[in-house]
Amino acid sequence: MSAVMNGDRSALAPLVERHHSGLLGYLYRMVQGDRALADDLVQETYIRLLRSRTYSPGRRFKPWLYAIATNLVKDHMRSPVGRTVLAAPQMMEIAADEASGPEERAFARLEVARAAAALNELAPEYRATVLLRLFHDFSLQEIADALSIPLGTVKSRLSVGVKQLRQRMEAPAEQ
Amino acid sequence: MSSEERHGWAEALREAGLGETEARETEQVLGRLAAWRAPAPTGADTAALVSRLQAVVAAPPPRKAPIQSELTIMLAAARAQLMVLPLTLWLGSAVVMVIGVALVGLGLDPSRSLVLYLVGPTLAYLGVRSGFRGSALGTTEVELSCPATPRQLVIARLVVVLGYQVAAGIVLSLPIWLWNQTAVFAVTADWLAPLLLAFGAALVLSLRFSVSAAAAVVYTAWMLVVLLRLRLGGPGVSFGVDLDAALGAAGLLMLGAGTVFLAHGAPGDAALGRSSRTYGSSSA
Repeated sequence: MSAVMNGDRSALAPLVERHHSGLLGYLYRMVQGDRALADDLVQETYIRLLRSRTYSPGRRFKPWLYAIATNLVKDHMRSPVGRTVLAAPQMMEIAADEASGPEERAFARLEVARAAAALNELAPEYRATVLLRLFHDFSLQEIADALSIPLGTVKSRLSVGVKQLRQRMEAPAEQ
Repeated sequence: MSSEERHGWAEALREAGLGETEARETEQVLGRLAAWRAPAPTGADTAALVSRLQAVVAAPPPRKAPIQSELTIMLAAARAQLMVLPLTLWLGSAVVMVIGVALVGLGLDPSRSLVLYLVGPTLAYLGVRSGFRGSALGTTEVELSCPATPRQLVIARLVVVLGYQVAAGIVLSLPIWLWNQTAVFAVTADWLAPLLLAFGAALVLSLRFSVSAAAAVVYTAWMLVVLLRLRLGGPGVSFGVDLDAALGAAGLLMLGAGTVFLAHGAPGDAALGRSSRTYGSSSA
């Protein structure tokens, strides 16, 4: 990152390649499966990063990157467009057993859609904490740095978020 | 699902305070969520993103900017603020000060300090609401791409706003000085000390909370202190020159500390992302 801040364009590609997939995955799940929006947010995150003059070499890069991304999601959700709740994505990619038949795959898709809906029902701050810890392997301290919250708050959000997620996923499906 | 991932979940669920049985059951539930694959960008996607970002990579800044060039940038930024800061700030500040001087001059301030103690923080409130952070001025997007750093811009605004209010206050205080020549310093301290204190406290608080909240908290707190003193001590609310000077010095220290922390990535710097009001500006 220091090289990029000093204008070394050749350092940009490795920086983006290292984090593009993880960042896209995080933002995709944060914005309810809207791929186009997630792509836009990824680009905007990097733009904000590159324009920021406040990076210091000793600062951990990944939490900072995800801090900007999370704030962009919050900004988007506050905007009139962001308040639209997307329907459960019909074009979801799911990991399904190749050997299972069409009925099993359809059932698996329904289950995944329920799980995604349950995640979407979490408040953004809990959703972010759960995703970063469980799906992006952030440590508690890295989450605290990324979300600018105390370590204790991270633990409580993780606890509450996981419990709420489980309750919603185990709730009877709506008819 | 790999065993590594499951081990990671087990540890995370322990951190979340779940017991062993509950954690195992939760893992099964999480497995369904994990089946929702997030799309992975292709090599072409990443290359296209890098290509679009190349234009944003700035020219290398000087490793150690000479003091003279840093001052030049801040002076230029300060000149620019004169056009950016709203008219309400200039007029509002002047009105507050004129009213304050008039009330003191007409003898309506029983202690010659009460009105002045209220004037200073009111000016600070106006200045903080108008001058801190580009989000209030609708200039965040511009600031992100201009050569001056956020810290330089805040210092430039502080110099302009605080400088204006202090200069105008001194000019308007002249009639009071002329009426009571022995109390020049005391009169000045009565409005200047709370002004500096309020600015400093608001800057420090705004590093953690929103600018509006910081300004409101500081203003309210000072009003409560003055009202409490009025209630307990009667019309003689003045803290005295020595304590006023100490309060003013504390304000200056907080201003200094606030600008230092702003430079070192205080939480408020995440406001570079948080404060933007125009997400839709990121076209491909």
